[in-house]
Amino acid sequence: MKTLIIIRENAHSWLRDTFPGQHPLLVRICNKSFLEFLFDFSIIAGAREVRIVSDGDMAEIRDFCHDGGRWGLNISYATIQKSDTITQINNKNRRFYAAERIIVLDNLLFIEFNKNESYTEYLASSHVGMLLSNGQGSVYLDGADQQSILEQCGSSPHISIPELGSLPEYFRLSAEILRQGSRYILPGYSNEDGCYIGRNVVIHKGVEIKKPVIIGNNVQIMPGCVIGPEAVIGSTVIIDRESLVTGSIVMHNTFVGEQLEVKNKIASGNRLMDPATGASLQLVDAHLLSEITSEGTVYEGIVRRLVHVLAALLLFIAQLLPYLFLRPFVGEPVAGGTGHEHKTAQLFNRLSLDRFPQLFRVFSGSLRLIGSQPAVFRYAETEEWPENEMDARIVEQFCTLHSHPFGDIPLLLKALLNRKESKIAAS
Amino acid sequence: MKISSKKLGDYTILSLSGILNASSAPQLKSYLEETDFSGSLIIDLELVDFLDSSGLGILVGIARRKKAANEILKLANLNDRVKKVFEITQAYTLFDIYDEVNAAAE
Repeated sequence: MKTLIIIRENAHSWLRDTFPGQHPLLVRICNKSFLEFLFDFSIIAGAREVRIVSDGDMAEIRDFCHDGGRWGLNISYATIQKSDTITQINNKNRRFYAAERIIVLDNLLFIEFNKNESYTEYLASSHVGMLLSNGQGSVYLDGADQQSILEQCGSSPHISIPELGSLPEYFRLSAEILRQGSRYILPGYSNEDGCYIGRNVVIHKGVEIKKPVIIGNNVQIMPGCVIGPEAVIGSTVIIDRESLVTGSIVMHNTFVGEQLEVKNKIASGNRLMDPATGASLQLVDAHLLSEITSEGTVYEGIVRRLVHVLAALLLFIAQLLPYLFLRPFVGEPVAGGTGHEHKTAQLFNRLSLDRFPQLFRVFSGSLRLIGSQPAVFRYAETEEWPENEMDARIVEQFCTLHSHPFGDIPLLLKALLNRKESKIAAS
Repeated sequence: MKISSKKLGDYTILSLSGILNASSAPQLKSYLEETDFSGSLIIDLELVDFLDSSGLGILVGIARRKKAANEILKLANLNDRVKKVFEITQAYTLFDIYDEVNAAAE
């Protein structure tokens, strides 16, 4: 048995709007992402091999799941087109299908199941075809029909798909998972019934924890706080002294300030949302509620900026005289770099003198010399073939991934030499 | 880079092997110009060790020509390295990608 998880980019857009900056399937519900709950179902169904297919960007999902080793799964990835049907997806993933039974989780965020029941035989012995659907997504059985091998399983275990298309439904499901913790949460997460506490959690003196509660990893709860009942605290969260969190969800990377009362709300970054009304309040005071951010690769940023400023200085010296000499003969500002009949204008562009004024912005640190937009020279200009913005984006994403500060120099030379052929407009 | 082609039903299978980058792109370009690849085409990328933005440019060019001629282009057998390049650059939106050549030729 194997599991095929189909992710369609346009689905679950409400999650993208509510929790921006992360893939909808990586949004956490209680102490796990939606995707991990689907993995749990796959494990319980006896499917250790999982393929994730998507018509959208999977980089975030790949970074999160890798090969699936940490769940004891073997995860692979494939891409599909937006219009692909189940049959076309089956065709495209023929090697994965082989002669196996496939559980297709199409466009789903969550499946209700009970880990104490047996799903393996039931799913292996059920006929190929639709098992469950709620209009938003479905569970579909595909691949080899093993009816001849296994007798139809007598009793069917609990399996259903909840409606999940808005913030109130998300909030309700979160509370339900918390209440029925042992039904969804696999061994290893639970410290005691109704109380699930992750790794590296510091709970200071005088903190009151009221069950049921889930606390993620890397959390600090300062003295005098009251957490729970029905509180979900994400990972990398700080709750400052004498604050109250009850009937609420504090999403990961969130700081809750001193003496703040969070009742029946969702706190995410610097936003406080009321799931009952859908109202959202953005707090500007970082001492009350704010996002916890990492430092990032500061060193690489400094080196890159230094390299760009030095290269811009050399280019400035090389271009200064030609620019001063040719500029008076070029009547109007020259943009883009193609299609100018006037020979001087063509030469002006060919020598990239139209970009000369932008070098000052590199010196001031407001613009990169070369990079993805905005930059004086775009990575897309290093290639001759891009004909439109989609092509340009392909090149820019490739270069961004493989770029390093010193690698930008050969790319700059390539862009300078390629100015005649480049069909892509500058920033 | 090694290039070979064969017929499978209505499809021509173009198998590429080695590195598809700025240095080998002209070789593939001239091979495509010299050989008749009209009709439905499947490009087998199983043995492509490395693919860069210039290599992608060639494939995008073929896709564009096939689309203009109302012909089919499918990619098959992408290994993990190549698959990752397609995902990261989002070039997969321009292609139909299959696990196997035989499934693509159906």
